[in-house]
Amino acid sequence: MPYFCTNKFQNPKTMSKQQSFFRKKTLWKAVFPMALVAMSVLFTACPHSKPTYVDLGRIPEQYLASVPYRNGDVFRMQHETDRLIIDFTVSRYRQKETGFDYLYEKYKPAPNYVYEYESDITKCSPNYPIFDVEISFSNQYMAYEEEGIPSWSKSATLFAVGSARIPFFGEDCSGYEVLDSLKVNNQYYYDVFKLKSDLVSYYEEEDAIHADTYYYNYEKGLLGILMSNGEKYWLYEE
Amino acid sequence: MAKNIGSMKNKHLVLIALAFLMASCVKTKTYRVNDANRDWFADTTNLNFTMRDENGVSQSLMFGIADSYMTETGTSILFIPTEKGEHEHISQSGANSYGTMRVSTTISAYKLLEYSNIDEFRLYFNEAVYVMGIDGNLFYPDSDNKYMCYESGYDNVMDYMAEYLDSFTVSDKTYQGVMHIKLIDVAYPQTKNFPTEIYYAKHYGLIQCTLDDKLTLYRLPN
Repeated sequence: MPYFCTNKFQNPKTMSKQQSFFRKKTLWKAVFPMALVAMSVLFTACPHSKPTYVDLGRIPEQYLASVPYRNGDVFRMQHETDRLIIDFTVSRYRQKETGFDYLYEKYKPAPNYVYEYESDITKCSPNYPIFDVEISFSNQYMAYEEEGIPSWSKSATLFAVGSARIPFFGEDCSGYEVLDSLKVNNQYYYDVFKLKSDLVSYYEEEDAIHADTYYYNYEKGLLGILMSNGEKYWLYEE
Repeated sequence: MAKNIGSMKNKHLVLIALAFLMASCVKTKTYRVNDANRDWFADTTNLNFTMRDENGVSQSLMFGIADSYMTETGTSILFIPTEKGEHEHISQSGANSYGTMRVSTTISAYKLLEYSNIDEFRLYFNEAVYVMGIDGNLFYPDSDNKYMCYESGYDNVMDYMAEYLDSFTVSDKTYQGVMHIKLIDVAYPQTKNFPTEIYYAKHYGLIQCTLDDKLTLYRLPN
């Protein structure tokens, strides 16, 4: 027998209709908060709330080799006027990050997968008031297709008043323009990617000066930048 | 006794009522930025432009349209308001495409001290804040007769000089009505890309600046 019927002085069977009505109202007041708690517990216990955790481990050495800079390196870029040589100091570090599957962010109420992955970030700060150069990549899987096998965009992203993708070392480079060699300041560089820059989202003023093309190889990194107004920056090595 | 207490209560009530009455009687005075000072903001046709430094490096600067807004101020004695004011502020901000220059100008209708026509001028440029009174072509130092520049994030307060030039030529273009600001204590700033000399033209905004007392950038004509 429920607790509200245990009152020995008022047996529900002997109660008047009016008494019974008030009893039910009191009962509802008592039960309603408990029902709320029970429902919230039920919702949190639904199968979507238990994603599969996937540790993607460390970025393979082969991919790390796509960016040749080491922490503390200094490389030099010469402005086309020859009057100016700019030192870029490199800060490179790796960090653990957590991300959800792509579909969760787009459509689903709860993630199917939670990925723990590693990011590699290279920041190059100039000693002159111009733009920074940054290259970043990770081993984060991205499930682009529903129920599909997670795929991984095997490239790094270069940012410098614009952006471009750099294919990973050892991976398929079809779709990229590759020059056999490029002569910069009387030096030859080989297997050079010519990368067209996209305007990044925060930088959509098309008439504003931005990077148009980057030159890059795995051995030296950034070899040159052509700006939208025709100015050029080239790697300077003595 | 009870009657006395009652009359005291009444007195208090009368006082409170009077206070409310006075508070409601305080009129709000509206202060607007002088028309002559509005010329210091860039016109809509001059918001985007290029600056080139002495080494030939170019960069784009993009500014927004000057924006006007109001704030309220007031004075009171024993919680009873004695004066209320609505002050107009006009502000215009911009930055360069390389992320190394942030510039913002604000003119506030505070009508400083006894000079009823003087608005407050603030030029924020990276970590520098140049402050002075302004009335059209006339610039006013603070009460210590000094033009003061502040460095954000530091306790640095530095002297600078300000002058009005009828005209000034940059990259073969002559601008009419130019504000010239020059930091005197150039060795004090702690932050990179600190502007130590600025030329600012009516209807155009920034036309020339020197960063860290060593690199000068010149505005190119559109």
